[in-house]
Amino acid sequence: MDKETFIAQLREIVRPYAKNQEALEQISASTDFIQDLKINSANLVDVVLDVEEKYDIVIQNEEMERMLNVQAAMDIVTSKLKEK
Amino acid sequence: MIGNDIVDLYLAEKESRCHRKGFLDKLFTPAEKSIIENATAPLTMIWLLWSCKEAAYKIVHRATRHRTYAPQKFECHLTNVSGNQATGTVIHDLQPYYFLSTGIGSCIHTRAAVSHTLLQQTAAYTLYHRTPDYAALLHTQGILQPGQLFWKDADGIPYIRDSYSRDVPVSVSHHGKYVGMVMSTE
Repeated sequence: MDKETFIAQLREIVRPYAKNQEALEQISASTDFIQDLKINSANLVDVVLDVEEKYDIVIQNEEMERMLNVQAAMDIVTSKLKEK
Repeated sequence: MIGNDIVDLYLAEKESRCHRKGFLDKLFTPAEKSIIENATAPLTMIWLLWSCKEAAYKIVHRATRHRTYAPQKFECHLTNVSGNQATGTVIHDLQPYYFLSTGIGSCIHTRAAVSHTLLQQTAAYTLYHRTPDYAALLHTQGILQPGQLFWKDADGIPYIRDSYSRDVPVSVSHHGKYVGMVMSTE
């Protein structure tokens, strides 16, 4: 899966939780879920769970720990899909 | 070092599906899940524990400047729950952070500190407000005096700069219709 495809899919995953919809339209690898998209920290777990469902993967706590931005989410998903 | 967190219970209920598969497993340790299951009001307990984790996280973040999303590494231990107040500790890396949570209106406001003594030397302000302008709110509450400045550093950590250019740590939080602020009174 290429970078653009992943970011486009992730944008739809985070859409219901993003309080800054303008930043959502400008989403890129460097976008921070909390600081840029203003996702509530209690909703970050929903992003993690939705990503798990979408790609049929299990994200460990140690991985979730750094899943604060698009790049980190992409790295985690990419490595998980490679393991499959 | 102090921290605080506020949860608007109406908004939390609207924004989070606490019953979805994996939600509690990712956020809470087995001991915390047991506290939630045995609580008379499990949903309120979820948000009480969450606000404690967040308040302690803010202290750790202020100290380390390192951002993480590791809620299980902050484990809540309730010491006393009575009426609309709860006290206890959050353990992170073997270090206890002392908290005091208060239920006010439809929100839970938690303040935390690195020691029990420091916790008692804090003042907390729980305000009902739609749009938070912390500087304006601090001014309205008489906390921010003329000549003082509310500012945040590059890591987003807030301070009040007094007229002698000394920076006093302050912790701010906003969720839904509520704003919480905590500062040291020493």
